Amino acid sequence: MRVMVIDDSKTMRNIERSILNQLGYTEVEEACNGQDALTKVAAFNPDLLLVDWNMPNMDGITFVKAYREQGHKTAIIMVTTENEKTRVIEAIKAGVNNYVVKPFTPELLGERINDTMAKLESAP
Amino acid sequence: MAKTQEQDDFGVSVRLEGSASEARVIITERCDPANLSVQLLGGLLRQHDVEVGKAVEERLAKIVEAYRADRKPREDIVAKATPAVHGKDGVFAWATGFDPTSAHSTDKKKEASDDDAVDFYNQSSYITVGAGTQIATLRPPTDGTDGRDVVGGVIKARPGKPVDIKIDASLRVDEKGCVIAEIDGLLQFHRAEVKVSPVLEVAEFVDFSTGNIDFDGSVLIRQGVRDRFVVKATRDIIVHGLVEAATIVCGGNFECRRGIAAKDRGQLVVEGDADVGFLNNVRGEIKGHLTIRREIINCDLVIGQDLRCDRGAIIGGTTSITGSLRAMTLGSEAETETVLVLGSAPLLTARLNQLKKDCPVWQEQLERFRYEQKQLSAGRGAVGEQQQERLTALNSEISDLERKLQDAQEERTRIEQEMATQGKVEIQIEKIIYPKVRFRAGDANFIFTEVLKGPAKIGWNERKQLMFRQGDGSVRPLRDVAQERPLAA
Repeated sequence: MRVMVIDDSKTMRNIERSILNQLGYTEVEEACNGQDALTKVAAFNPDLLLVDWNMPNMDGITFVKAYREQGHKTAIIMVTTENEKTRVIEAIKAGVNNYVVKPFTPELLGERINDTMAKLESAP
Repeated sequence: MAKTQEQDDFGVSVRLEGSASEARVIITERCDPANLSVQLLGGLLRQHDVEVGKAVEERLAKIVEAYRADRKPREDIVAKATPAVHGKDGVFAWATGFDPTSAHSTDKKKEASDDDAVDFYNQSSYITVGAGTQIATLRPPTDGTDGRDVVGGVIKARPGKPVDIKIDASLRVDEKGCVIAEIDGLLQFHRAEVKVSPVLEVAEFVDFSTGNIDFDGSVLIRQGVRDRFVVKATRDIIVHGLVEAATIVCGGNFECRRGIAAKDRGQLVVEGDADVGFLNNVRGEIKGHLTIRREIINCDLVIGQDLRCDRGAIIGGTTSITGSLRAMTLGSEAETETVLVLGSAPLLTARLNQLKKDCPVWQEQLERFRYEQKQLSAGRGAVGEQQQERLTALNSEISDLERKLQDAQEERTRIEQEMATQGKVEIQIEKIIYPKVRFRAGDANFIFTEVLKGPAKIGWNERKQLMFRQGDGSVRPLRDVAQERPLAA
């Protein structure tokens, strides 16, 4: 499975990559903002996107909207410090499949990834 | 060759170049301007099959007008062929750093250091690639566009030639022309064929022509390995010739038909079994079995399982063996001090010691991270995004360390259990044990002081006393044939 990690923090990208590797996802691509991600998704063709909200150039929510407008159905998990209910609802409306609030534990992220992928697989 | 037809009645003619690449109208002084018209010239051109379109008629009109204004003989080009655009040849362009035809092109190449000294040992000319890596771009040839001569004939475009490079099944070409490795391995380009080989084959020596080798896979070296070079492979290494004072690090099994003459500078590390002609002045660690065809001379070896030296001698150095030992001869006529260590598991002991060293360091790190986590969490309401990310990083570090410590504890338990059962004393000598062969097993330390002829066996009895059994079946305590010395000696 191909996973793209979109976060402006290199540390966060490294952490998420490390967790993904531990979960057995070895094909991981990174992008440092929404704009960067939009240029990379076509070539990488991910099965899952982990997207930060607050990023320079293009933030996560704008990216999600643009990505969904292009017709992509790929699973998206928003991984962010934005923890207000309104934000979560906004993200879900934009097309996010799941939501993880920072700080998170590796176990929590792993659970959310597995849940998201399982739901997508069982969907008709 | 030009073809001309003159219209005698009017003093005008048309000339076509041999390949109908252009058509000219020639007007002589005999031409009466009153008779000259676009229709006349157009008709004349048509008689020569020249296509007369609007552009040509416009040119003819200008000529007629000019001649009427100034009655001088003239010759004008009125139509030109549209040349063919020939197709472009296909192109195979290596991605940056992936051209195996360019010497030392690999990214492993060391940059010149501050003092401009280049480490030529590390200038490997081999390029290893991972599955999914783009190594080149392939552009197919184009057909080109046909041209048209002045009489409507087709000027055929010459199609481009395809690239004369065969692409092996270990690579694929995607719809954009990206040439991508399908497997991990060595990128090879030979006889116009490009492929990724899971085995790195060195046709001759590992030397300055190859540089050090660090390969994710198996390595086959047809000749030998020169002094001071390093060969690392995650899987097997096979060397047909001699390994000199080089370093061999092998993740699988190691086979060297001739042997290693290391001059005290060579090192051998093998995760699996090793099968070697001879070992001379080698420092080595072999986790599996070691089979020696001839002799071991002045080596410092640690062997994780059995040592077989059925047709040769172990002379000098220190050899630690976890499993059994079978050799033709121990020591030499020159009474070279030869140390054999049995009855323990040296590799496991080393690993256990390492774990004992690592665990407190990890534990201390863990405590430090937990403390920082607690501090940050206590002020969570006011913390910003950076602190949230730091907390996430701490969660990840803590999780890693907890797992590492748990794994280490399990490994320690397993090693201690294995050590209790692994170390054994089982020596079988076919021919001779020479004086100054030292033998250590647990707390016991013996030195042979006289020549003992084989066949003979040394091993523990049921009371864990070391016994010496000769070929005639007689069994006596080892201390009867060798001097027991304090361990410090």
